[in-house]
Amino acid sequence: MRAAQVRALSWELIARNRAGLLLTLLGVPLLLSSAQSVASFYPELARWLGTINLISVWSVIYLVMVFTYADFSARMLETGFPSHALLLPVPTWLLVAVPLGFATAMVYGYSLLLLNIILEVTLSAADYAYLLLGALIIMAWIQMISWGLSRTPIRAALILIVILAVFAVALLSALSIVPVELVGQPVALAILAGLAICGSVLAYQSVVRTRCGQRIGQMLLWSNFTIPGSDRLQVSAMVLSMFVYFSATIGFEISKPNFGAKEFQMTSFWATRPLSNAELAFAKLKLAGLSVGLGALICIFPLYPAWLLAGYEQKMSDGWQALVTRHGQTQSIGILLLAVMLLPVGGWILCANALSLSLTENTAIRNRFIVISLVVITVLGYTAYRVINSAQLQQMLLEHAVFVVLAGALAIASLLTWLVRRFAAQFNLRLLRQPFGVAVVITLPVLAAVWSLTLESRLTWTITLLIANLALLSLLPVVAAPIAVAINRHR
Amino acid sequence: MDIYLSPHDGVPVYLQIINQVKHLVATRRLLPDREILPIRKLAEQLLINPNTVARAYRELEQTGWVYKKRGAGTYVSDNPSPLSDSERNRIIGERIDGLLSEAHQMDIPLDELIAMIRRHHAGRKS
Amino acid sequence: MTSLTTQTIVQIDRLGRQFSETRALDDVSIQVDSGQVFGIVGENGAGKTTLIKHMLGQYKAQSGSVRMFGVDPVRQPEAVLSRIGYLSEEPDLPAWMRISELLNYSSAFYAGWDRDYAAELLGVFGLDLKQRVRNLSKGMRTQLGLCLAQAHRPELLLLDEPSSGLDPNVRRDILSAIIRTVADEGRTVIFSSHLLEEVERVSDQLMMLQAGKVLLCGPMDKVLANHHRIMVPAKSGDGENGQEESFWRAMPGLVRYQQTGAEWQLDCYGDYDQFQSFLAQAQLEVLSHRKLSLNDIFLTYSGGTSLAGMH
Repeated sequence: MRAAQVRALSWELIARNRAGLLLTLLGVPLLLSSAQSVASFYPELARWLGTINLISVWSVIYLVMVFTYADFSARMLETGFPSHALLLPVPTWLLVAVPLGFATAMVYGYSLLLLNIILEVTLSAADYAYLLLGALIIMAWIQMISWGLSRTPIRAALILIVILAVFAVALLSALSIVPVELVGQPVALAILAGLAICGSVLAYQSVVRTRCGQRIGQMLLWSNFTIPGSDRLQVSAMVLSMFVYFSATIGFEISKPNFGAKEFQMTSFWATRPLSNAELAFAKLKLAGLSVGLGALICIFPLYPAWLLAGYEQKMSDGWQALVTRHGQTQSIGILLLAVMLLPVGGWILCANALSLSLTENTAIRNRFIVISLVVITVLGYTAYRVINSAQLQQMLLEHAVFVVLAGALAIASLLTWLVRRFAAQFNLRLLRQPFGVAVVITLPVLAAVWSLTLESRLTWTITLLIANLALLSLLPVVAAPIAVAINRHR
Repeated sequence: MDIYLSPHDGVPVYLQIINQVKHLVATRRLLPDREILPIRKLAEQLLINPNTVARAYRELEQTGWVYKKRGAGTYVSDNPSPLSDSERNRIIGERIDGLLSEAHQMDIPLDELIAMIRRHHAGRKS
Repeated sequence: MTSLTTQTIVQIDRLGRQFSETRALDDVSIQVDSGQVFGIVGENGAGKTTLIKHMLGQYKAQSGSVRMFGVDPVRQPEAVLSRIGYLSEEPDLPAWMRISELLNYSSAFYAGWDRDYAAELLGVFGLDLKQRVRNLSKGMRTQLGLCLAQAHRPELLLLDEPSSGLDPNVRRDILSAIIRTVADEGRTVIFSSHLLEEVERVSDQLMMLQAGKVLLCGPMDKVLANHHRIMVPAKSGDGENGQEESFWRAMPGLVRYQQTGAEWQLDCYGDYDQFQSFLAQAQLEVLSHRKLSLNDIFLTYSGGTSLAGMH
């Protein structure tokens, strides 16, 4: 009986976020291997490899989120223990132990996979134990917060910051792979063990409380915490990558009728207003654009003073000089602009695509799109992986890249055509005028920036393809959103 | 076994069942030594508490309208005992009370009411 | 049905609960024996759900005590929950699961899970195993919840306003579930509802809650037999200066009085003879008299000039 209960609970943990799990387990190795293959083409990018590897550490945090066993209640605006599980005839210790143990094992295994196989770090025997403790601590505290922190988020945040600081100091001192020793090994071990025990006991207590109706804590944005890195530049890169990640979340959120709603279905209040589908869609898109733009500004602007404060002035001017010496003044400015633009464009692509996909309120279309993207990423990643370190195939990869981009464009075009044909009644050519205007305004300056560069023809080609692909992806939601609203509105 | 419950006439459900079973037996739609619906079946059919059906059956058994075979259900008795005087008085008395207060409200004097009853009685016979 | 050995399923003594400003439950004591259908009625916010959540161990008693099958549901949730089948108005089902997945998942937690019975019930309801829970209509969700609540043949079926806002078909399914449960030897049903006609049909014990207090608690037939509506003529001038209030307050068992045209409508609880003699002494003629349905009883206690607090 117990075994069956543990099996069922473990199955639930995996099944409740299958897509997220799949994305993490497949996506990250692919991202890392393709980054390595790109670095083998362009050695000047190799120094960024470390950053990309570190970015992949975020995926561990994503995995932690996948295995966090909690439900968000839109009505109470707080997270809590999944309410259906509270009524299962299972002792509370088991309800706590299974999610905690299972998630710890998964996060631990995944970290080992990343460290050993992909990042190729050699770990000492003691490191394995410390990492296991670390995984348990992270899971226990996060679960404790999501299950039963008091309704005073400020106090909760303070507690969390203290815990995280202590945890980071202890783990960094304990691990042999990190050349930092802030406290002695025995002290670090004692701290880690204490944190693990405290976290588990508190998590258990919060479920015991929840089970007999005592208040569940307010939601805390725990996913905002950062892992202290040794290099501030890399931390900055991680912050920027989080911006892109959050853009997608924002897109999903904006497409909902109101914040925190569970369903994407349009409320009858909006569906019956005398507004055209295009007006409804563009109101949402405008909101998405604004939040991505503001988000990008918030992420980019503080970086400059942060770097100054961190004493990167010299490094920055050196880097700039190196760039100017290599490519000349105008082209360097172009490259810099492109790099800066890439961030909001990436954010916009994720945000707006997520927005228009979920606006359809059609899970079938959304799932199909996600599957297509997964397949495209897999093909791309696999191709890249095959070409690593084989210079003869570099030309072939370029041809493949062309092929992949063309195939992607064709797929998107046919999807659009299919949607248009299917919903011809709601589709009006007039709807396309405004989106195309927007598209031209976005695309022309980008193309101009690309053509002003006279780099090696190969690099220009790749960048052009990249831009073309990005432009296509940026435009897709503008065209798709009104159709999506129409699908949602007239069922 | 066709039993119809009317929820609004204030007569308790178990009494409605008793009266209707008696009626079905009296009109020979339920024949002697035939099994009547099991408690559970009738409860599910009427969507009422099985305890209520059980109570009705118990009273029918006590007054001799039905009998139980051990482990084999409930059967209609061969010669049901007539209603006791007091029970007869009670059932009819309730109806008469209702009739009298209605007649009072409509200003129908007692003599006229009795005359009306006689007329109806004669009409039924013919 | 009454089994030979009746057990006490629920024993609640002087239970109290305070939610910041509101007194959700005030000194509530009930006992439910096995084989009973125990109906709980009351207005919105009267404390029905709060009471049921205490039985499930989802609320811890602030004062008083709750014993389910003789044990504390907060201390031993597993022992209590494994013997209960629970269904609420909005069944709490993990929305992302398919029906088949949810059945498999739930079966792991109950020792007595009957796969064939669950399949039979689903067949009766006509639910498609491949559907996801979030795509089900409200009625289908209730049917699924009903199936999950019955499939382990629980000793106690606990239903919290299961019929609210459902069509007659699903309401019938719910009533059948109640009847089927109680028809099996010794099994018990507790349910709360707004649909008083249903409660009147299937309950043999009734509890009426108002603002967290127990207004009425007892066997259903006793409650129905002892509530009377008596009409007496009103004298001219009645109802103008409020003098008759003290007069009516002296009448034993009077729950509510109100003037309708030229008559007084008196709703009373108790023995009819006692009211008759009181009215005869006051030289008031009884114009009509009838017994109240549960619906009328509910309205009597919840609306108008109610003297409910007096007795």
